[in-house]
Amino acid sequence: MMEKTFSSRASDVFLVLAGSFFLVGMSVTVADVVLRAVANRNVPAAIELTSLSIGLGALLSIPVCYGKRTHVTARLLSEVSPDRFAKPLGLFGGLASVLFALMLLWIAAHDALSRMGSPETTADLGLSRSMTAWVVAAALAAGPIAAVAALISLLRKRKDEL
Amino acid sequence: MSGLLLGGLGFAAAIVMIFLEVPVAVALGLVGLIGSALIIGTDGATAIGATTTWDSLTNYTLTMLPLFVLMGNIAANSGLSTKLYRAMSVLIGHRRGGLALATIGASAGFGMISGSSLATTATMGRIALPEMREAGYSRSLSAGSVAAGGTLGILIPPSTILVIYAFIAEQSIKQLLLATAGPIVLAVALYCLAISVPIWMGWSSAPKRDRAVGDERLDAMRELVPPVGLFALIMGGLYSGLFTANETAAIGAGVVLAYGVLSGRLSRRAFMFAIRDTAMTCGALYLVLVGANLFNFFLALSGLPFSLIGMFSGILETPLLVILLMLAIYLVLGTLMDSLAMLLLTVPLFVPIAQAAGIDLIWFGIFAVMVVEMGLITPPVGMNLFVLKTVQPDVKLTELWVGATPFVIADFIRVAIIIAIPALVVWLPYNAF
Repeated sequence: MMEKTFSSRASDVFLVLAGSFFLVGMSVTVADVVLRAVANRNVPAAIELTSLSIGLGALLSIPVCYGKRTHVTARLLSEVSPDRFAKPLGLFGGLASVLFALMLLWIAAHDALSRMGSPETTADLGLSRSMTAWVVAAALAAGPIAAVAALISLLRKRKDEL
Repeated sequence: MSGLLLGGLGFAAAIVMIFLEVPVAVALGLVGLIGSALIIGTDGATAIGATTTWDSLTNYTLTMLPLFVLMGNIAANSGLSTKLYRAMSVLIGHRRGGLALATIGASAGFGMISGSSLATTATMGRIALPEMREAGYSRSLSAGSVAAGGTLGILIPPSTILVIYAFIAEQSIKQLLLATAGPIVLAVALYCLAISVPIWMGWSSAPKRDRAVGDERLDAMRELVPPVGLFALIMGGLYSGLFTANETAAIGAGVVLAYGVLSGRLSRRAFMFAIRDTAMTCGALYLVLVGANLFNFFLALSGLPFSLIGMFSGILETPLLVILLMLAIYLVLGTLMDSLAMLLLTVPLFVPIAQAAGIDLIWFGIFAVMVVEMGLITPPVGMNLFVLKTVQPDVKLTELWVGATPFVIADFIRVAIIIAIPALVVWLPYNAF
């Protein structure tokens, strides 16, 4: 029960943070349009600010997708015969998700390490690319944890039913 | 092992994994990463993986995706989609087949919001089927209109699937959204016929209901103002060139949020639900984009798209043959997977072939989206039909097939018309500004 509460709370935190970053992206673009119409000026670095805030929102929402198994999945066999296919195919998909999440984390961590000390910055805001790479790696680190939690929950569900 | 063979094997592996219900993003991403590593080594694949992930997350064009989803979720949580169905059923439900027409219209509206045919079919199946049944509509007509209505919304701006096509095929999203106008008008007209003809011929029953009284109709019209106004804002902003597509998405989301808050229809709880739902949907969409990008890169490395152009060289002079071949492939794939999976798998291979055959890629995007959606209702195994069967188990598959057939015929006619008159699709995007 504790675990369920914790994972559900963690999901909520990630989702609300992600949604907040989407709202920031929306507000920046709306402000840019209004400022342009009213004062013929732009919000400084509006495009990069929008891209980065929405990108960060997307990044934070990815682990929840693993954890709650809300992936885009073409479910044909389990629609046709749920009793026979839903569980084994769910486990197979879950295992593949863990593997993919681990690969993405490894790639992001490798990228962050290789950029350490690099003077490279983003074009308009001048943010350190080394720092942004670590942010990506840190967010993607939650992916395998969430994918494993989803797999364990699926396995427990299966055991309960046996 | 040659790159070409690897490309072919990778493509087959992706199809098998998707069929075995591995999430689309995971199937494409795993094949993309492992395939790229086999061709250019682990270091190269790692570097590409990092660049691809960063580019997919921070691409400015893609920022419209969460904003359109946010707009839709706030609209849905403000009660706009339910009100749309209720208002339409009050206004046209008294006509013969009126409830089926209202279902098509409301499904289109909900499809705009949800961005998924399958989700639209499942949701509208629960709302509209019981009402049509109670009104004495034949089960095949009711089921057919729900299944077909689910496919319509995908083409109506803001279309998430077109945004994704624009990203993968590197086409202008603004031109693609403008290109939907002709096919949408055509679809609405043909779907009206698909409902009316079986009723006129006596194949389906759709009894008249009592006409709503004056005040009720006036209220229904008032309820239609916000969704219609929102649609007008989006289309007007795009068509007039006043806003870019990204700005339209942000302004649309901002206006719906302001409407929800100021009208008191969006409670704090509903707002939080919309925010969380948006993040959940976008997590899945962005992961798909990362996976699709990795897969595209692997296919390009393998040289498979260019080899296919060579294999198709005999028929490239006859674009119609190329189009018919792709149509057949999409219809077959439609029996195995959903529209997004089909597009992500095929666009990297089909776009170079279409380009080599001289087919306009804006036209091709509209064609591809229309045809993948058609596959979802094509009997015997369209995915929408199965979804409907799941949410309403008492509807027989034969009734679903019978109900879907007039809409499939309407879709075939629509595709034939846009093939015969491509200007219906491409005139507006190339002449609007």
